[in-house]
Amino acid sequence: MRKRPIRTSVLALMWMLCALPVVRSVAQDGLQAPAPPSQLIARDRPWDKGEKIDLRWKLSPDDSGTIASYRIYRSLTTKPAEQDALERRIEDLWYLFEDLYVPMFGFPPGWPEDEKARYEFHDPTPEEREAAGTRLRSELESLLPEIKILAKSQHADDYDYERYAEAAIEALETYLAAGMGLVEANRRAAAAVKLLNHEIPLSELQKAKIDYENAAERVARDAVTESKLAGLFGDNWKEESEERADEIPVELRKSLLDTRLEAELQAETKARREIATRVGETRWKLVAEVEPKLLNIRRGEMSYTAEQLDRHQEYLFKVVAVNRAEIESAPAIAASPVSPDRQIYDGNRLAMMLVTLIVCGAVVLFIGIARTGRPLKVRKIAGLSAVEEAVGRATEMGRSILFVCGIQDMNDIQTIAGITVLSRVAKTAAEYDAKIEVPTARSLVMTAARETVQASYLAAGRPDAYNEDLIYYVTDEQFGFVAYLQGMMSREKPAACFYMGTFFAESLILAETGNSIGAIQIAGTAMPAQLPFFVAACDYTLIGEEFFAASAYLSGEPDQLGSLKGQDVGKAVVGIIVVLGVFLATALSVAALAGNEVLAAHLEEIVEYLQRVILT
Amino acid sequence: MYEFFRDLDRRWIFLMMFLCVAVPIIIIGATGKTFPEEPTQLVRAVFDEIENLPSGSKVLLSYDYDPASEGELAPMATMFAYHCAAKGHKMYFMALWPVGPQMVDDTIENIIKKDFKDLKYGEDYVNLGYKSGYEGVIKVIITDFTELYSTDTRGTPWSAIPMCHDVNSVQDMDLIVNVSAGYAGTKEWVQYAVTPYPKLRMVAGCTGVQAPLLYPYIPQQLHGLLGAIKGAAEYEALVIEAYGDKMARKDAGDNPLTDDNGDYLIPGKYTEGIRRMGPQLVAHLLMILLIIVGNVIYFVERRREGRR
Amino acid sequence: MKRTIPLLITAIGGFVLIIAFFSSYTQSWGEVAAIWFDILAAIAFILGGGNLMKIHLKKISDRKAGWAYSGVTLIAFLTTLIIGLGKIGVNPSEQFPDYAWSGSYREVGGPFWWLYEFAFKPLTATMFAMLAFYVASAAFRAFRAKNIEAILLLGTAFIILLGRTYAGVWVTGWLPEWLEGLKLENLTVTIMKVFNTAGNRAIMIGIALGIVSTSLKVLLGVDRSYLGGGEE
Repeated sequence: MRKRPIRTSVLALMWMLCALPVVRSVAQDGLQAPAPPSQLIARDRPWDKGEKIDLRWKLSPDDSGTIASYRIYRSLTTKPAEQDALERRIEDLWYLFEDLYVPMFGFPPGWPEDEKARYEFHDPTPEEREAAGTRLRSELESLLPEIKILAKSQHADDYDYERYAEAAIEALETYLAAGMGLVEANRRAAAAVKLLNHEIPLSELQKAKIDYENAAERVARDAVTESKLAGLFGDNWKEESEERADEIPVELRKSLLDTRLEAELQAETKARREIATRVGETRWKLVAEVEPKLLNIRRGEMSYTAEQLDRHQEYLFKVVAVNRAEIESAPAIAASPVSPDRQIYDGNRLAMMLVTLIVCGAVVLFIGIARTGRPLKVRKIAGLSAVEEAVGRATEMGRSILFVCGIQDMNDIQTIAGITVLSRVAKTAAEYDAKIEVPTARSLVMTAARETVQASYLAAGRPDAYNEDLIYYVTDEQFGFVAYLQGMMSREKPAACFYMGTFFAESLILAETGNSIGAIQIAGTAMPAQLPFFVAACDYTLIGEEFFAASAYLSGEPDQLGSLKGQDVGKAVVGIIVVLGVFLATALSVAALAGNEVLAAHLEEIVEYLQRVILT
Repeated sequence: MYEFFRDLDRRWIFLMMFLCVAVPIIIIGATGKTFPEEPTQLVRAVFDEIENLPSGSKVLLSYDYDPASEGELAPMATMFAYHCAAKGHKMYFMALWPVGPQMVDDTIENIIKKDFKDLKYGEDYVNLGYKSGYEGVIKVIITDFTELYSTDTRGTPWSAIPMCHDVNSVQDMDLIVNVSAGYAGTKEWVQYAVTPYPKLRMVAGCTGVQAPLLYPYIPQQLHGLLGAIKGAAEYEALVIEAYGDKMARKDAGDNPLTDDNGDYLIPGKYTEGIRRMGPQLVAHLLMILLIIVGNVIYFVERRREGRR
Repeated sequence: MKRTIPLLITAIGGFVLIIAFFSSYTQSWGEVAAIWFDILAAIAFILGGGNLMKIHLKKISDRKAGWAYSGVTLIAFLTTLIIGLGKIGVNPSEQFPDYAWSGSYREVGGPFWWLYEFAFKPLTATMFAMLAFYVASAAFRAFRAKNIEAILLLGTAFIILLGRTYAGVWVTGWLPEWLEGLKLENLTVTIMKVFNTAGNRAIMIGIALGIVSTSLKVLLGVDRSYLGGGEE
């Protein structure tokens, strides 16, 4: 890659522009800044995915009603790849600029000697200059959106790309303007000042500007250049030189450019050094603004968890107190940067794990108890007691039994539950020698259903009666499937219809069609939205958990019945949590109404902990 | 009479229902008269979520429905797109249902291409299309879009779509708008997107059957909900109130046209919901009537049985 | 063997995924498993298509009752399949004009689009619309004030039916502001938000527990009926 000081310096300048601090903390209009918070401790959150850091700090001594909030800032992360890409793009543009610029306007200061041979220097015609200018401008314009897109990419909040791009474009446009022959020596400086304006206090800006303007060398050189221009164009040299730029001799134009560049660099380097010493190189990002609560004030400390951090980065944190007049205190800065660590176990899911262990443990425990032979009582489920009746009726009438396992695939637990019910129904059907037909909406379900029904026929001692063609795939399309079933039901008039699985809008269409042909219908689903339709149109409906219990109920095996008992423990846990939640919420409202602020604050803390930590 | 109703062939009911729906459609079509709508809090919340975002915000519109439920959901899908476009948001369309992209295409053709001609594909809106996997899709794109969506529905690579450059995952969206007819839909978006990432905002429109199941998620996980045609109609009323002048038919001088009462003349495609409330009203009244008749028969029957 | 190996796969897969859920390093395994399933399910389309052909061809060759329907099904299936897979009548995309199949299979105006727009769309919409008729007939037949619960249900149904249309505003629009909550449209919202949510939550909790128990039975091999035949 070619090394050119001018490019490097301009890039450095751009970097500097975007590496300025965002934070401004100045006391205004005689209002006092609050006392700062202290002892900020930043620690990696234990047992997390590596994206959280816990912060804890002592409140500002002023905090007895005067502090409105605390602002938490974190340092910005290091330069990501996108920024490199942006730099490269700007650099490419810069090369182009040089290629157009140099042949016409000579070499900028500090141009490497060995590079000079590449260019043939000549005084350009106005047309050439115009053409070069137009091309450069169009290139710039075409690149502009790309630069802006890059500017806004990924870590846009961390890196002020937009300003970075603006600075780059500004710089390029200035040079472009110079190339076109405009004599506006202060323009670049003004642009720099404008950019700086967003960044640093006015006093510093003024200093930078004065530094720039006082650069003795620049003044001297400018005076020479200006007098030369005045000699050419008279008193109105500023305006005239712009309009009649073509007439400025090449050498003079070159010296104009040199003067400006050097002066700018001097001023900007100075400004940069000052800023660097004043606020350090750290750039900050506001993470959150939190209000101290009653309990925080009583305890004299506060905590906050910074989230969505990158575990490959190090972060420095600082906290400032903000009073009601929006004035920030001096910051409390954490002693050293922290990086979030990823642990094997995700503590956010602790509550979930406990519940899983309790519920699963209870199910396993009761299965174990059932195996010891202790009798378990399960309430009667009317819909399931009617299975035999339905199959018997179909046999008597000499008609078939229709069994639909819902319209979802085998990854849906309801489909599996449906298939387990199918195995019991098929066994009864085999015993009664009734024909059972199973159209499916998924081919995997068809395969599973075939295996299951075959096993049931085998278990019933009727393997010869099994006909795999009665279990077939229709279509994945919901309403196509329903249309088929409707037609089939109207034509073949099955005597018993079972709908066991996941159903959507088709539930009522199926159940009503079944009703119109006078079939005895038993439905089971865990789709709450479809339950009312099944309840209205079917003879029996297994509601939610009854449906999942069906297989165990029908099998009558102690193992399976034990699992049902285990579910009851889960219900008890849920019940306790619901009661606790209701109690806490009620107590919170009562305490707030009764004006007991401390109790309300304590309760609020517990409720918040339950909601934010346990239940998320 | 009693016997007639007791043994009423259900085809009579079908015929009545047909007339109750068809006649109001014809009358509303001929006269253009509709019922006024009084937006409820939930619908207002949906409107405010979109309205209060600053112009240029990123909105993910997931159209998870199919032609079957188009009658119920297309009006709100249309209105969501119109509202986002009118407000100047960037729209990222996608679908969890195989035929969802067609629903998106219809919306783009009828709304964006016709009434927002200055919006550019790839810069102001993009159709990311369908990916199989139902809630699995949400689980993946919540952390990384490009893992599944390497291109949009036209085959343009993700990196070549300007409005996607600053988008890595669903978390970069300012709002999720979901139009849902069932599984996978609003419930899955709530469970796998908003619940693990509570900073995400989401509003939804769903079928009438689904709506009761989504109430438990309001307002923490779901910030607004349009329930069926009624919700769509109320939302239309709000959008018309806010953007009526833009939406109205224009005269030769591009000025909005008004009717005799001074109300804007809104194109039919933007009042689909409001217009469908007519047939809905009559159909609901029929249902009430049928239930009453059914009960009268039931009581007469019971009394007769009691006498015996 | 026929049952042991699938049972082992189920148990190991299931428990590994449960444990993976609680570790920061392995939380995405569930998504990977879901993608595997999608691949399997996609391959199973071939199985489904083959079965469809077999069943219907057999029906036609046996001249079973309704064999003509099978003919219609097969023609529709093959037409859609060939047009869709072959991208028949689709123009190349603007980006790659030199490649014959680069266009979108559902290009506006193309044969597949035509099938979708004028066959699939109206057909599915018709099926869905049938719900209106069935709801009416089911309501007429099943909504009976048999006991107190049924009367409550009836009353709620009336409120919702009226409250979800302009009729609600007509009927109770005159109520003064302090009785705002009794207006039908507001009552509808209250019923949905409070009573319906409470009931739904209870059902959902029961369902969730049922799912846990069923899943455990499957993983532990207590319930093996879904695996089909062949003892050990």
